[in-house]
Amino acid sequence: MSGISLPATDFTVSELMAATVARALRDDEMGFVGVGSGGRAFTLTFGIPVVAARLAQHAQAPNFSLQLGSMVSPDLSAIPSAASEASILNIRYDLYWPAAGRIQALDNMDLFTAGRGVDVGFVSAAQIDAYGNTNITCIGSHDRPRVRLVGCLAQPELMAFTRRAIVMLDLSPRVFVERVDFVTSAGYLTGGDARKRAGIPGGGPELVVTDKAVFDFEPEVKRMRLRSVHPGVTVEEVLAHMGFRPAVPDPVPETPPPSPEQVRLIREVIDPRRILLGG
Amino acid sequence: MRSKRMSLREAASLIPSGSSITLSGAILPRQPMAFVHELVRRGVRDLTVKLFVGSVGVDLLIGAGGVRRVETAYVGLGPFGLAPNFRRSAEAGRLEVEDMSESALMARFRASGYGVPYLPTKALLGTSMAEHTPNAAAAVCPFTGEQVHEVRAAHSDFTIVHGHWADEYGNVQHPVRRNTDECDQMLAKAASRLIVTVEKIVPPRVVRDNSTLTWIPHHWVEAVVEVPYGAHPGSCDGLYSEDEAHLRLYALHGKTEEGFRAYLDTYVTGVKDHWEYLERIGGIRRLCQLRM
Repeated sequence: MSGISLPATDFTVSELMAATVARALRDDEMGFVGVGSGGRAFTLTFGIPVVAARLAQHAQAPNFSLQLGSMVSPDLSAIPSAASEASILNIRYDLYWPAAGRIQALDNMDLFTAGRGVDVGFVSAAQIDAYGNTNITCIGSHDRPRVRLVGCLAQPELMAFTRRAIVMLDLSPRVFVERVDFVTSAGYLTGGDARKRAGIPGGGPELVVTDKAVFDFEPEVKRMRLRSVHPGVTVEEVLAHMGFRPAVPDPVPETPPPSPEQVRLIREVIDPRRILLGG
Repeated sequence: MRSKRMSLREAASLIPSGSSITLSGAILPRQPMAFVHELVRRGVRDLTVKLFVGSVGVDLLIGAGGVRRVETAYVGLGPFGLAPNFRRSAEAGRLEVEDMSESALMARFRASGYGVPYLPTKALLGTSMAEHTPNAAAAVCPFTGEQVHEVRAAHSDFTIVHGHWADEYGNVQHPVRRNTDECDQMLAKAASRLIVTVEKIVPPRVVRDNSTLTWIPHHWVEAVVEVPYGAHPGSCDGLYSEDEAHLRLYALHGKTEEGFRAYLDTYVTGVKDHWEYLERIGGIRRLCQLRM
């Protein structure tokens, strides 16, 4: 495709998701991306926020910084050519990606818990509920889970101690449930001012960016609200892919597509080998 | 200083069944794999394993039937998927799991290293973590009235750390260019007894001439063991990368109990020692491919 002028209608859903996340980032902010999983989860938790951060740096937020695990402000124009998704997550990338610093895990967590490190937490999950609580720990009961997942990592910190969190997920009734089986990370708990009453310091989830639609949360009730549907997707289709009914405004706006320039940047400059956003 | 050098067999024999142990590493880097293999060969049982973030080390120990309880922020194979034995045992109700977030778990390990029975954290507020462990209790700060949880010190009988190199006295060093996304030094202080395996035991002068690289000093250490490629199939940052092919093979065999039994027979219980293991996984040719 290189060298051919791309129409604005030619974009993948992951490119649309990255462009949507990019618009939500502000200049001088620090975002945090965890590391660890593979496949589509890699694209959702790692690839989309990294591409979004680079798009934001090219547009409204030239001084937006990312922290990838303990790596502070890696040079997003110099993603190492170590090639595979597996190696980008592991030791070769960790040691050879140029960055401003590599801090100790303890210092990293202290910056979260003291509320002086991170503006935007990027998360994904196995389940999210109507009030933005997320689960990456287990499906079913904790003592005898139907599916035992990985644990908690630092996702509770990403949701509790940042100014705001942005969640990336594919829409599915198994993922979007009325109540998560295990609250790994607190969203708005049972809604209203429950989060504040629980004493959780950070702001909570702001946006949920999916493959079909974008959601935010009602200002008072804090229940998930449909914010826009992607081009070509109907509201009915969105609701059919959810296990609960979100608040639905009338009319529902359409998610703005990425610009041709954003698509070009992603394909030719940021992710030419399609490691970050997948095939 | 006196020599604390031991063989892998001698060091592993320090750990009786029923012990609590803490394992080093940050997902794939610096898992003390050779030591774990030796524990499995010895048939150690009924362990409580405490980890920061773990992968193939704790999973293998679980699959060999050696673990009763795990306390952790993560057990998985990173980009290679879920940890198969951890998953199977937890789903069957055979394994107790305490889930805590990274900063809360650090508070638990820090309390142990600091010598206090607990520390407060705000990381559990509003979550399910405290509901499923006796090691966390909701509390109110006596000074500010803020809501917190008190989390209990994560003390273990033993910590086992895999490091880069040490002298025979147990002064452990790491390279300048290394993975920092770990808390092995904190884990080293969290147990009563510390066993260190290293890639190489170097002459004391190497340590003395570069003393700022010492990360675990000798007076914390009970035993130091030389085990080249002792973190395989995980990585040892700066020296060798993770063995992707072997980790995929591990994940594949781990899908069933029979498959995993065959894996253990081939690579762990069916080999005499670590040297034979290194031959079995492809010998010097394979190891050279993994060197960084």
